[in-house]
Amino acid sequence: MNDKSVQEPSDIDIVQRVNDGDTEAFGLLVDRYGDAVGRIVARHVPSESVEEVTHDVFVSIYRSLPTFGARSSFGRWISSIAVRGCHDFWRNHYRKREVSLSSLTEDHQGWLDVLLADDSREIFERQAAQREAREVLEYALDRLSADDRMIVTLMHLDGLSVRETADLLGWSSVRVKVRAHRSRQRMKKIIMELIEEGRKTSDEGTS
Amino acid sequence: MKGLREDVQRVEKALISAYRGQERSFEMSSRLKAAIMSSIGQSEVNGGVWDALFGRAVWRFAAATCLVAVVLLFFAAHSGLDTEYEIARLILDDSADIVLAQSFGIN
Repeated sequence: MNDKSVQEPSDIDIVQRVNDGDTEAFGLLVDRYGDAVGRIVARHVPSESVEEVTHDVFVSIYRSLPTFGARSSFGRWISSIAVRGCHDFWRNHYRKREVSLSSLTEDHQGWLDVLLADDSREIFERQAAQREAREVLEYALDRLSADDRMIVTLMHLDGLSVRETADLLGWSSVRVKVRAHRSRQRMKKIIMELIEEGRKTSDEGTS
Repeated sequence: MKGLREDVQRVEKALISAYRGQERSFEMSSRLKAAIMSSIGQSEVNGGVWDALFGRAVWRFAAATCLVAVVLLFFAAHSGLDTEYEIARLILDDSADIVLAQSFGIN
């Protein structure tokens, strides 16, 4: 018989087995969703912390399995736990942070100057593909709170809707809207400061 | 010279583009899977005892426990039971000759 549905148990069946005490069955869920969870985590946390956070997310999933009510799809439920795991990571990270925030180097200022000096599409794409772009983004995100960082990442960078973001974070839509507006303003302010700082530096250099 | 607002928009767009163009592949390794299963097994060992003692069984008896508490309260209120008096009598009567009163500094 080649029917795949007969051979492979459904997510709900596996959840039922785990809840009934078959711990090993959880391995099937890790196999099935491991890559997807890891990719979600990799979008939100630094590469050196991806494995650790993915591990913690799966432990959280295991502990929360008895509360899974099958009202939403299992994949969506797992995604929300993964995103909340990333949120927890940033909250802990900011709480423990002792070292001062990183500052931009001349390379980063140079990147900004080139980007803003020319309106062409070619320059834009070339600059966006550079390592400096990601470092400037990290610099800006690092100056936001954990809540703002998650909102900016989910809504403005990933392009999710208010409802999707609210579902993933377990927040109300109103809270997401308010936070989204504030975090966007903060992000713009940080970028504005960067540009002004760059201009000031180049003005000092020319005078 | 372009306006600051336009510059901010351009930088913002470049950062979004940089984020979306980032390579983020992930593959669950057998080592990580083994670590997850080990942690789960460990939490099962630790959580199993807790669950056996204080888990769902407690909630199954919660309703009955509340009912008994209400009945006892009702009984105490209508039987003229004076708890403060009963406690004082228990200590001062000292019928078992344990000298409870002395341990509290009462003679």
